[in-house]
Order: sequence, then structure tokens, then C-alpha cells
Amino acid sequence: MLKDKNFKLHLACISILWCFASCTPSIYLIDRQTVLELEASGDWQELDANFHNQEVASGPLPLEKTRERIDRRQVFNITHSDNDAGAKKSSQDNSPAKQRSQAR
Amino acid sequence: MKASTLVSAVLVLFGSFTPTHAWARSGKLIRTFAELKKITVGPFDNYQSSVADDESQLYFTRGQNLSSQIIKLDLKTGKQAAVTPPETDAKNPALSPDGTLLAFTYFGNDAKGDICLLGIDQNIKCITGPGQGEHSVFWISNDKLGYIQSNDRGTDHKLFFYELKTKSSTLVTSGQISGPSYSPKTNMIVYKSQSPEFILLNPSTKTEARRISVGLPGTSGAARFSKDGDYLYFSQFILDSNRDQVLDSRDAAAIFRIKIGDTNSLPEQLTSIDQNCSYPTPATTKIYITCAFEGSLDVYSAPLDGIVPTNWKSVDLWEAHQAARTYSDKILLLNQIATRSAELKNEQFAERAFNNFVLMHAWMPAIYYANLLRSNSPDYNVHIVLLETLTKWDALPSKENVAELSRLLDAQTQKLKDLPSSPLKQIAEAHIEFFRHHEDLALDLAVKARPSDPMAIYWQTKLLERILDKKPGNPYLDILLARVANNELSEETRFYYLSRILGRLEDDSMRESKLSEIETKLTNSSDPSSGNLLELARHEIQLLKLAKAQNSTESRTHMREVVERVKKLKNEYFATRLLFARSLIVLNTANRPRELSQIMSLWLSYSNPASKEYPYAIEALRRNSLDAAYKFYNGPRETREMAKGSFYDSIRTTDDLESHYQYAIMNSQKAAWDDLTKSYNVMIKDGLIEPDSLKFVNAVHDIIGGTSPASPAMLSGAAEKIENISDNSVGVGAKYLFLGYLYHQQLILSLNGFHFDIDLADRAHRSYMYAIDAAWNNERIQAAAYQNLGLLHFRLRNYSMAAEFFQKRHDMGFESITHQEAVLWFEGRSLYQSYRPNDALQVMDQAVALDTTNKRALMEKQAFYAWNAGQFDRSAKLYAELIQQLEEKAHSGIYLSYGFALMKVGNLQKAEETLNQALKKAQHESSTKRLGLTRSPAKIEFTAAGLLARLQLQPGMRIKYLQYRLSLFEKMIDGASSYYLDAGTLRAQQVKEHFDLALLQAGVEDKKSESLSSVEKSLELANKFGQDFGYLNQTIFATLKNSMILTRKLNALDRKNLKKLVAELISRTEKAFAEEKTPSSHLRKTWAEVQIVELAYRLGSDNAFVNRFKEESDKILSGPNLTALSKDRQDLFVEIKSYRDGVAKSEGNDLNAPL
Repeated sequence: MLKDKNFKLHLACISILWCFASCTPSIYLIDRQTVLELEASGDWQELDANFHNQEVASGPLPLEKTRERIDRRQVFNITHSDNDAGAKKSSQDNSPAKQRSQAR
Repeated sequence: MKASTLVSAVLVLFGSFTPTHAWARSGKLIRTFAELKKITVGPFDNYQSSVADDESQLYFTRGQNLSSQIIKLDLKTGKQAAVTPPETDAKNPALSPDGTLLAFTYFGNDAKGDICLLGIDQNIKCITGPGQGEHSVFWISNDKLGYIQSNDRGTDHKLFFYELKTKSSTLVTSGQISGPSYSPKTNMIVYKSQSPEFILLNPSTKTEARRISVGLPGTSGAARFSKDGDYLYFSQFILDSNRDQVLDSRDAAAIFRIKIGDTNSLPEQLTSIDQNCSYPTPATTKIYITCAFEGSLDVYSAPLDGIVPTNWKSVDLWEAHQAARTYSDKILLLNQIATRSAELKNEQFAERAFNNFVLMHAWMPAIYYANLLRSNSPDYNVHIVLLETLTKWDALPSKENVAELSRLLDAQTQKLKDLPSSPLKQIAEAHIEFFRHHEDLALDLAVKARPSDPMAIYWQTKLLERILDKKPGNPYLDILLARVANNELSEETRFYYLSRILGRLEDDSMRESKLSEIETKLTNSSDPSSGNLLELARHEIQLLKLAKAQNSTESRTHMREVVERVKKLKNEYFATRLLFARSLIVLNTANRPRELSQIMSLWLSYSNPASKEYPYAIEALRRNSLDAAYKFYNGPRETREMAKGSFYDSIRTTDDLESHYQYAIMNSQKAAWDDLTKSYNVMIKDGLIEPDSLKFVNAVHDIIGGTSPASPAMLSGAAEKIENISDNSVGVGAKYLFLGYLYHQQLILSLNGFHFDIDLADRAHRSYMYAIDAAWNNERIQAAAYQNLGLLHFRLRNYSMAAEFFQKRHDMGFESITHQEAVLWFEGRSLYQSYRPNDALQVMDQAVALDTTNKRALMEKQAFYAWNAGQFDRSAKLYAELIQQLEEKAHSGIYLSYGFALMKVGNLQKAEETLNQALKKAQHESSTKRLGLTRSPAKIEFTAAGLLARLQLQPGMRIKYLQYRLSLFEKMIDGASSYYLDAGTLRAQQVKEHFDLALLQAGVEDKKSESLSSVEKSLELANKFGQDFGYLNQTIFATLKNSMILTRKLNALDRKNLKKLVAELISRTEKAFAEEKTPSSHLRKTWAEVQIVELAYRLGSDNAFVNRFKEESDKILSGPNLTALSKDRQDLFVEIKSYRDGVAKSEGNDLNAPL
């Protein structure tokens, strides 16, 4: 009796050798899934081509929203002072940048 | 270039290309540092580089599908190719000083590794042999190299020298040695030992010259000398990024260098930790390093002096430190300040590094610095206990693992007991109680502590956040408020806490009451330093009013106040930074693009272009302009003009390529284009944009703005122009996306059947990968690049890679349902083709749930994937619905699949009806071309008939269907290759099915004679075509055995023709068996079984059956075949013997042993 796997084998999976006129033939392996889809699935060539042409993007997608939350953007990071340990306000950042900022 | 393979990832295996203008990035950061130049692209790992002296060629290891190969990249032409065979692992390339020999670790002859050489002749010659593992090869001169030999346990290592001329090895030293390297300038070898030091060895005397200690947290990687021999470059693995409590080479690293003559100083940090770079190879002009990005490794180049510009003076470094948005950047800049000037002493650096590592939750390096600082304050011992506890807590697989947790916490409590009392100690104890799940006690202890030290306050705040956050009434906000009001803390720290509060005020009523509370608290404060904080609180109130303004008059009034506040705070760096950040966040969230635009202009006007803050302002402006532009773009038709305006604003302020692209697309009409060209020329003249930007939009216009599709020549010409555009532009991801598109389109136009231009495919792939890397914070570019990569690889039938890219695309946004549907369509199909039907089904379920016009196509795939996923019931229901909708349009293949699903769920009647429809439809359809292949209805008919014959119907019906199917065989065999079938396999199937028919007929009273004819047909075909599929095939054995059994059952032992056919087939099989040089044990057993059946068949109803059978079958058992079997597989021999005994006992009536 035929078994399930035989059915699938029938539908699929065979390797093909295409010999072209040249001396060095190109070998293509057509796998099971391809043959199965070819024979047992619908034919939507036009849709497939339309989808393909429509979706190859030449530039950034004009998405109205992205997943990133604005308040999580790195540019808005307010990092904690790294000059606090063991120091009170009096001995805080005395760096040239601070001095320049104060001078402005 | 001729392409040949459809299913393998050919792009990365053969010749490929790297644009000479490789994309540069600064890690996931916005800043003004020098950029890392990307040299290689994924998705596979590329690492461990070795570069020629003139930097014309680079060799690196590529890790792909759990194997590794060495790839050569020509840095001038961008061409690359594998130099070691794909079937054998190789790694760690090292190029000889004259560039003529490549040494590497090779696993072709020894799984432990050998040192092998590859010369110009491309032959691999190994200088070590199997036995011990050899690795870590390095060159001393063109004639001499060194390597390490390790024992199997990896506990002992020997350093050898090898002379190429004499082919002899000399042992130099042994012990814990790793990552050796040599400098001809100093005539020294450097290697790592067990201790955190590098050892310098004099190769002439083979003695240790000196040790160089590394005063850094974590573990060092192998060191390499700079070309001038002055520096040692190495990677330091600092962050426990995999949370395994061990700092090793699997963790995040930064590149450092240390001056050899100045060994007491702090090593100079060259890259930021978040760039995660290792394997440094210093060359003459650059350093080549391996960095991790988005989960894969690639080779990058960086300046020899690191990413922080060497012309930055102390004031620049401090300013950059102040503006930095990440702790890892701050650490890098502090290191630069400490190593370049005396402004930060080692101890001060250690304090600041400690603080930053704590703030970035990097506990292990923080422990390192706490240890250095413990003599300064006993509280550092408390910090260590706390950090150790957190390290272990974070690594615990289950926080409920009571025994392990309890042991850990007991030990930590004991350590704390021995330390002097302090508020920090109390906070540490509170942490431990919290980890013991004693939340109330922890809260009590934490609240009672009165720390004044800011780091202690930080720890207290973090613990209170763990306990109080999300509790009713949000008491954690009060804790933060107390921090804001604490004038013992620095203003910067208070701003940090204020920003935390503002970020948490989500609903309006809470926001207003809390802001008013903050305002009151700060107004009542006698501390003058609270003034700026008060301004910020008032600004937030103002922003909320602005966000709710009903008309332009109201908006102007509030905006004026904002402007006044900016004027007041303009010299307060952190105040203005928070002011603008909050303005952008609040107004963006409230969808107020106009006000947002005014605030952005304000920020820019108050920013000094030469300042280190400026790039952050530009980035914020760019992204907000784009957000506003895309909002208008997607809004009603009348807002499209406003989108143009926003893109134009962005162009004028940031010269961003993404804005250029969209602006060019929106102005592609003739008149608008002429205006655009004029305004671009003016902007170039005014120095607002670079001339390259005009080249970019011209190329976009040429290709996209035209009325007819671009020709290959136009695409190629545009690609050449784009390649020449500088990488220094803002938004350079858009450049690489467009470049990828140009190559992609050229590829599509050049496709010819299964042939494709592999070079174009590679260029498209690489360009898209560069775009993704460049657009690390830009989902609009990333979404386009991932989508295009998916489509590119789908088109090349490289389905698993396509699926990978579509899956990355999956969670990003879509412009419309139509676009989402299309992407899901290809994602589902790629997943199905990658043997993942369950995932494909899931994706198609999502697609069907969309409200689209292509529902039938999506439903069909859904039903098809459901049966592929084994969900036959669901599949049958989906097919029923689909066929109802498609009506006459449903072709035979859909009926066939539906019938199969029905058969699987046991609905036989409906299955028969459906398969008959498949059969009839197929008879009226003609062949079509799909996916470059031919879909043949004849094959559908053949398959449907086969399924009908298998249905558990009345024997008469099954006989009918099987006979029909058998009538199709010759046609199928004749055209086997066009049906993608193998003729030999079909012949075997034909033989088998004729016998199946015989069996069915044997079960019907008046068809016994027909049954014997079918047996004869089966045997006849087996005799005639057995050579096509082999006489030792299982089908032949089964046919022989079953034919003889059936004949005996039907009492037809005297049927001459049948006897003749059996004898012929036995003879052929016997001959084939005799010719088999090394028959397998199973073949021996099967053949013996057939011989035994044949004996019983031949003896028939002989009166002397018992004796003759015993006698002759003994000969079979003792013959050479079974003698050999008894030696190899006694169990199989016993089985065949017992089978023989069973047949003998039943006098030949029970021959049904399995075959």
C-alpha cells in the first residue's frame, strides 16, 4: 500500500540535472518544498510579482510611527553626575568645562 | 558571472565585494568622536584580522554555520574570497612580514588543530602533525615563526619556534602562555600568562625580559605590538555582558594600549565599551579590530590613537564628558583625561570609574575599583558586599532558588557584620532583607538610614524604587522629590532625579498636582541653588499649557514664556539640556509639530556649532523634523505640502540624506524639480549643504523620478555616482539603502531563469547591511533594508536567509495594511520554504486577519501551510471555505490538497468526491510555468488517482481507481524529468502498485484469475525494468516474496508463466547479490529470507516437504552468506533461523514474516 511519505515523495523532492549545450553543465537542486508548492498550492503569480515590485524600497519607509519611544532616545539621556561619590557639593565638578560654562 | 546554485548561501561563499567607501559608525552613539570604518559585513561572524604591511590586503576568520574559514579581502578593490576549503575549519590567520605566506590554525588533519601555511601556489602545507593541538601562530621573520602547543586538558602550553628552511621546531618556554606576538623593532615576544600581566620574552636568549601589569578590571585579550614597537595594543573584557559572573573573552570589551616604556601609567582606552571591540591588529596607519553589532561580529578599522581625536585638549575632553549621553562614553573620556593630562589623578579616576560602573549597573568592574579605593573609606568594603550580592543575585537563574539564595545572603550578612556601622551599611542590610523577600523590614531599614554620601543616596533610591515603584499612590515619586530638594547633592544629580520624576508623570491629573508640589517645595527652599530646578519645574507646567493651547494666540503666549526662560537659563548647561529635552518629549508626545519646530529652532540658535553638545542638538532636531515630516506625510492630502516643508527644514539645518531623499521624491515633477535645483545651489553656496547632497538627489531623481523604468545602464551609472558620495553626511544609511536598491534592480533586470549575477547580488546585500549598521537608530531605514534583504534572498531562492531578514522586519511598523500584507506573504513563503510550516502558518494567520483585498491568496497559503504543519482538520476547513469563495477558479492542485487533508481527517466520502474533482479538473487544465518551473496537471491527476486508490473504500472502487492510476504510469515515466520525478523510482512504484492491485483483486471472489494476472504483470515489470532501480531493491524482494505467498494462498502453484517469472527474477536477484562486493547484514538477511520463501514455494505441497525443506534450508543457513551474517550480526542470524523454523513447523503455510 502507498504510505503518506510516498505521497509526499510523489509530489516532491527530486533532483534534476539540466544539461545545457556547454561542456560544464549547471546543476540545480529543486527541493521538496518548491515542487510541493508548485503542484499543491495556489497559483498567484501576478500577485507575487506585484507584491515584489511594490515592496523593493529605494528609500526609507515613510512610517508615521516607529517602535522607539521618544523619551527613550539616547539624545535625551540625562546621565547621573559621576562626581558625587565621597564629595559634597562644595567639592563638586571643578572641571574646565564647568568653569567655561559658568564663565559664559 | 555564471550562477549555479539555488539553495545555498552562495553570496558569502564565493567572490564578493566590499565598497571601497566602507560605512563608518561610532557604535550605537551620537557624538563627535572619530568613526569606526566597517570593513566586512554579516550576517555571519567576521573576526580575527591579519593585515599586509602596506594595508592592501586583509585576512580574517569567518564563522558560519558552526564552521570557520579564512577569507582574503583586497582592501583596494573590495574583492574577497575564501582561501581555505569550506569543508574544513581554519582560523587565526597570520600573514608573513613579506606577505607571501599565510599561517593559520587548520583542523583538516587534526581536530585539535595544526599550524599550516598557504603560499602563492594555494596549497596548504602543515608544519605540525596530528597528536597535540597547535595554535596561535605568529611570525618572527619570513623564515621563522612561533606557535603554541597545548595539552588536551588545556593546562599546559609550550611555545615553539619553527624554522622554515630547516623545518625544525625548538621549544622556547612552557607554562600558562596565550596569545603570543612578536615585534621586530624591539626584538621581543609578548604573551599573556595566568597573572593579569603581559610577559615580554627575549627570543634570542629565550628569557623573560620584563612584565607589564594591566591596571584594569576584567581580563585582557592577546596583545599586539604597534609597528614602531612603542605600544602594546590589547582588548580588555570589562563588562560581564553574559551575566555568568566571570569576566572572560565572551564578555564586552574595549581596546586599550599601553606604552611599553611607561608601564606604571593607566592604559589608554581607545574605544568605548559599548562598541564591544576586541582582536586588535595595529597596522601602519590604522588599527584593525573586531566589533560586535546587532549580534554579529565584523572587522572595522579605527585611528591608531583611538576614537577620541588627538587634537582635543583637556577642555575639549571635559566638555565632551559633560555632554556624553552614556556612562561608557564618560568612562572613555575620563580615561583620556587621566592618560593625557595630570588633571585627573589615578585615585580620582578610580573614584569616577567606580561611580560610572555602578550607575551603568556593571557590578564586576565596580568591584575592581572599590577594591582599589577601600583604603580611602571603609564604606568601599560595604560597596563591595553590596556589589557582590547584586552580581550573584542577577545571575541566579531563579530568584526563588531558596537554598542557594539563602546561603549567599547569609554569607553577605556575615561580611557586613564585621564592618563598622554607617548609613551605607544599613542600606546594604536593607538590600539583603529585600532579597530575602522581607520587603517590610527592608523598607523600614532603608527609610531609617540617613545617608549624606551621594552614592549611598543612590543605592537607597534604587532599593526604594524596587520596593515602592508601582505601589498605590506611587510613593516612589516622593522619594525622588526628596532627592530633587536635597541641596547636598550636585545640581547635575538633582536634575537627573528631576528628569526621572518628569518622565514618570503619565496622566494629566497626577502631573499637575505633582508639579505644583515640586514648585511649592522648591519655592520654599532657602537654598539659592534650587533656583534652576524651580525654573525647570515651572517650564514643565508651561509646556503642558502649550501642549493644550487651543489657538495660535494661546500658543504664542506660552511660547514667549518658554523663550524668556531659555534666555534666563542659557548659561546653565544641565538646565538648558533638560529644558530642551523635556520640551521635545512633551510636544512630540502631544503631537504639536509647529511648536516643536519653534523649540528646535530655539535650541539650535542657543547652541554653539563648535560645542560638543551641538551634534546632540542636531541629532535631536533631525529626528524631530523627520517625525513631524512623516506625520504630515501620512496625514490628510492637504498636509503633504507641510511634509515637504518639514523635510526642507531638516535639510537646511542638518543636511540629512533621508530628508534629501524624501524631498527629492516629493518634488519630482518638472517645475518643482527646477525649483529644487535652484534652491539646492543656493544652499550649497550658503554652506548649508554639501555638494554631494545635490549629487545624491540628482541620482534619486534620475532613477525614481522618471516616467519609465530605469535601464541597467542608468542604474549602473547612478550606483557609480552614489558610491562616490562621502560617508560623512548625516543619515548616511539612506545612501547605502539607495545604493543597495540600485544593485538590487540591476540584479532583477539581469535575472535569466535560474542564472543571476552573483557580484550584483553581493553588492546589493552588502549595501543593505551597511545601511542597517549606519541606521542603528532609524527604524524607517532599517525596515526598508531588512525588507529588501528578505526580497533579495527570496528572489535568489536563498529562503532561510530571506526568512531571517523578514523576521527582523516583522515587528517594525508598516506604511499600510497593503504593505504589511505583502511582507507577511513573503515572510510566510520563506518560512515554509525553510521547512518551518508552523511558523509559516502563524505568519499567514496574521496576514489573513488583516483587512485586505487579497484574502483568497492568503487563505490558500494558510490552508496549505496548515496541512504542511500537520493541522489537517484546520486545513480541511480552510480549504472548504476557500473553494466556496473561489468557485470555478479553484484549480486541481487546491482540490488535491483539500482531498488529502480530508483523507487525513478520515472524511472518506468527501475526500473521494474532492479528489475526483481534482482529477477531473486536472484533465481539463494545461501546463503552466510558475517559479521558473512547470506545473503539470498530468501529475496532479496521477497523484489524485493514487490517493483515491488509497482511500478505504469498497474494494471494487479501489480496484477501479488503482487501475486508472496504473494506466497513467507509462506517460509519467516517459516524461519523468518534466514532472520532477525519477523514472527508476516510478518504475519501482509501478511494480509495487501492480502487486497492490493483485492483493485487492485476490480479496474479491470472482477476480482471483485477474489477481494472478496482476501478480504476473508485477513480476514481468520487475524482470524487465529491475535494472532501472536495482535488483537488490526492497521492492524486488517484497514483490518476490509476496508473489510466492499469494500464489500459494490462491492454490496456483502450478501456474507455469508465474513460476517462470519468479524463477527469472530470483535468478536476476541472485546474480545481483553475487556481484555485490560488500553486502550489508540486512541485505544478507533479506536475501536469505527470500531464499527460504522460494524454497517453500518450489517444494509446494510435496509430501516430503518437511524433510526436504529442513535439508535444503540447512544449506542456506550454513552457506557463506549466513555464515558471514552470523559473525557480524548474531541477532539477525537468530531471527532468520527462527523464521526458517516457523516455516518448517507450519509446513510452508506460514510465510508471513515481515519483509
